Amino acid sequence: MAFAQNNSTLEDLVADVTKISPASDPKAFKKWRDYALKTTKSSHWARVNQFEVESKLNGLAEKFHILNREDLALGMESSLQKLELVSDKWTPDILFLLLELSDQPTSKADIYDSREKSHSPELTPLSWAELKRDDPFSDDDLWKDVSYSPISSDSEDDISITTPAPTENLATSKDQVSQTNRVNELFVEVDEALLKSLLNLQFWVDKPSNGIQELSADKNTLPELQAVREVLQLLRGLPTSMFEILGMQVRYVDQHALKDLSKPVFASIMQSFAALATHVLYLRKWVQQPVTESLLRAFKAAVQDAITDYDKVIGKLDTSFVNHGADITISLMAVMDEARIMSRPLLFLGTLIKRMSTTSAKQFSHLELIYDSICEQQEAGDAILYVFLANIFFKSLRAFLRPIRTWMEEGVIVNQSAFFIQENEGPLEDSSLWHDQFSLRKSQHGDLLAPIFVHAAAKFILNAGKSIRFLGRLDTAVSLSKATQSDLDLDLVCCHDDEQFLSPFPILFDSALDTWIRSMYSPAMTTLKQQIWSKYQLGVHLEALQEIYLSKDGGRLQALADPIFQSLDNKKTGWNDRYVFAEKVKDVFADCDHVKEQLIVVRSTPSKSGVRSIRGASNIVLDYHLPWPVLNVIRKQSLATYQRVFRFLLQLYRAKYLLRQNVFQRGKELPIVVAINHQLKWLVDVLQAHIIFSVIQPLVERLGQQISEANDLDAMSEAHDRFVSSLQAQCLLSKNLNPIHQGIMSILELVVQLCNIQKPWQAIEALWRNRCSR
Amino acid sequence: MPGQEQDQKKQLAAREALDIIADISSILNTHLSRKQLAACVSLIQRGVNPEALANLIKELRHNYPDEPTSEA
Repeated sequence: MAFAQNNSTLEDLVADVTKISPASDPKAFKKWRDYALKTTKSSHWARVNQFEVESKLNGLAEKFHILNREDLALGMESSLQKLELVSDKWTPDILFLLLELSDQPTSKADIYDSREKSHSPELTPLSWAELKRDDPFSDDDLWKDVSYSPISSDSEDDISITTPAPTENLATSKDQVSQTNRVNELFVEVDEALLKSLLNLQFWVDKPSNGIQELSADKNTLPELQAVREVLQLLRGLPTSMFEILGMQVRYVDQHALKDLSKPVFASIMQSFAALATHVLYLRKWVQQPVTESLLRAFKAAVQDAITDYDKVIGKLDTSFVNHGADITISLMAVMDEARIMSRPLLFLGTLIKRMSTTSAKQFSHLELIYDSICEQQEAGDAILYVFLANIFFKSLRAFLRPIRTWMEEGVIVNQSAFFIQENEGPLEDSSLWHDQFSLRKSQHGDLLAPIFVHAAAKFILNAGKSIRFLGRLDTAVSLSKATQSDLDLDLVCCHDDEQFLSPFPILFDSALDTWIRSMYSPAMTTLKQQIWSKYQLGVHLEALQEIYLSKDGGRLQALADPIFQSLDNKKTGWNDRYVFAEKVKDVFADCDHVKEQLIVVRSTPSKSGVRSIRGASNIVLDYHLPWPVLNVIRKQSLATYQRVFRFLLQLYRAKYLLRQNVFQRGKELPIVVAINHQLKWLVDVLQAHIIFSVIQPLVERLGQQISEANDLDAMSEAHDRFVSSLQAQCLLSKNLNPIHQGIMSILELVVQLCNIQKPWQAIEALWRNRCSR
Repeated sequence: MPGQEQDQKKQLAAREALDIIADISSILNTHLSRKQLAACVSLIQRGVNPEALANLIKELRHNYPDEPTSEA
């Protein structure tokens, strides 16, 4: 059977190869057929070495690769791989046959083009990403600075092994696929049909059509609920289909109407809503404008909060229409009334803001405007606007109070250009630190550059910060609890109790602001006052000044002045020697607790008038050097007044001293001389008593009282300044009283002249008596 | 019937193998047509010596040098 099959197959093969058929050339066919049979008859033959065949084929594939016949090579490899799956025991023999019959496949075979090509792997074009992945041409480490420090081979820890950057950045196809999958998960499939049906329902929306829309009567009417929702959406600043926004204007553009309402009436109502929305739109646009000043930013934030609250209220109203659980009547007019009520505060705020831009360019002008409006609305009895504006005011005020708080707690000016307190530049003496270092910033017209409601408290604010700085100079820390007082807000200032509501807002605000300021102001001032009084002994120094200059103890003045006058009268040279006088001063005040001798300095000035003149003794000047913290209270310029008073007292005592020298014998003096002497004595005593008992003592008492009651350094300094100016005036030493003072001085000069005349006359008289007695 | 299914599977496998062998034949430029290749495969599977068969085909081609066209 097999032999017969073989025969027929062989015959077919022969016929096919030779192209001879039994019919065309029977002889030749028979010959070759027999030859074929004979050739293939032998049953004993060595089996093909399958490994050799395999090796030959692999070698051939490699040869194809080498000869750049990739098509043949890949085709061969893929065919061999596929053949492995379906091979049987005869496959090596078949392959051997093919190898035997192969005829220079590399040179002669056409480009391999068969169905294998569809199975062969597609040669995708090379991409830069693949090139970079395989052979990164740029390595980030390449551009790093080379470290030339000697690194030993053992210190491998120092050498950081960096992976090539491109490989990290390049996503493999797998990563890309997973990323794409993740991204795709975020997308929700849209139900196009549902969307279309919704769009179709909104028939009032302009759809692209061919010209004029001729809608049927049914389609021209809107449901009232839809109209209500549209207007509520408009008021919330959301885009609507029935209104359009052109710049700052909102316009009603639709042509529909409600079922039971005519078109013109409906249009009129919608235009009213449009007008309302225009005003609210102005606020929305204004809030979006950028500003740099912090005060305006805070105000804008407060306005934004108000707008947000308004949107929430409108949103609630909108929700009430959508929520079908509750019974609600849908009425456009009712919504109009409610919208008007809800929008009223915002509309008022809009008018305020418009006024704001036209008023002065001061940064805090908006605060003053709102403050005034709050007062007006409270007087008008409009509680809603009052509370609304007050909330915005206090929110905006926080930004204004923040630098004030920083100044009062730390003595630091955050933004000098925008603050009403300024630090004065230029060299400053320690003795004028308190008065000259900081001052209130004023305009050219002398107005304080701060809102009007702060004017009353500005001084306290200034002093609070000054105290902190002054204490810092004294190296004294102030323990201030930072969380002393919360910021001012409406509840703190205005209780919503009806009775409190009737209290005028300015009074409530001033009271609250005063309390707020004092909470930060008092600790610093108390500490400073204590320091000045106890550590730097302000009271002691005041006593010392009174002892030295104001003749608190007349005996000391006498003890001080008598030696001078004696030397003066005896015409001793060196009577005004300051060293001698300084020693005398020290002796006189040695037992005085208040006077510190080391602070006393004696100066002598050249005499302009005669030595024996009443002004002669004024050449000696006593200086008492106070410590610089005390000089901030007892100003340097006030010490000049002390010295003038001391000089005046000395001059009066000089006159008294001279008059005391005149001794008259009864009956032996001219009556007129005695009378003049007596009158002058009386005058000098009265003057002296007046100065000491009527002027100095009451003033000193008042000074002591005022200083003890003073809250801050300013009050103490002002009390002392008032004391000095009163002293000067009442001692007839002020400029406008100079003629009177000159008159008194000329009378005191008369005393000197009288004594000058009397002395030689008395000497002559004494000589005459001596002669007479001999 | 399972016997027929097995025969069909065998036929399919044989056809697939023949397709692959035909591709290899085409790559090797053996000038064998599909019919000739099928005959050769059939003869080899019946135990014919492949070397003898190759010699036979060479002899026939030598005497009758018309090159067989490969199947399209």
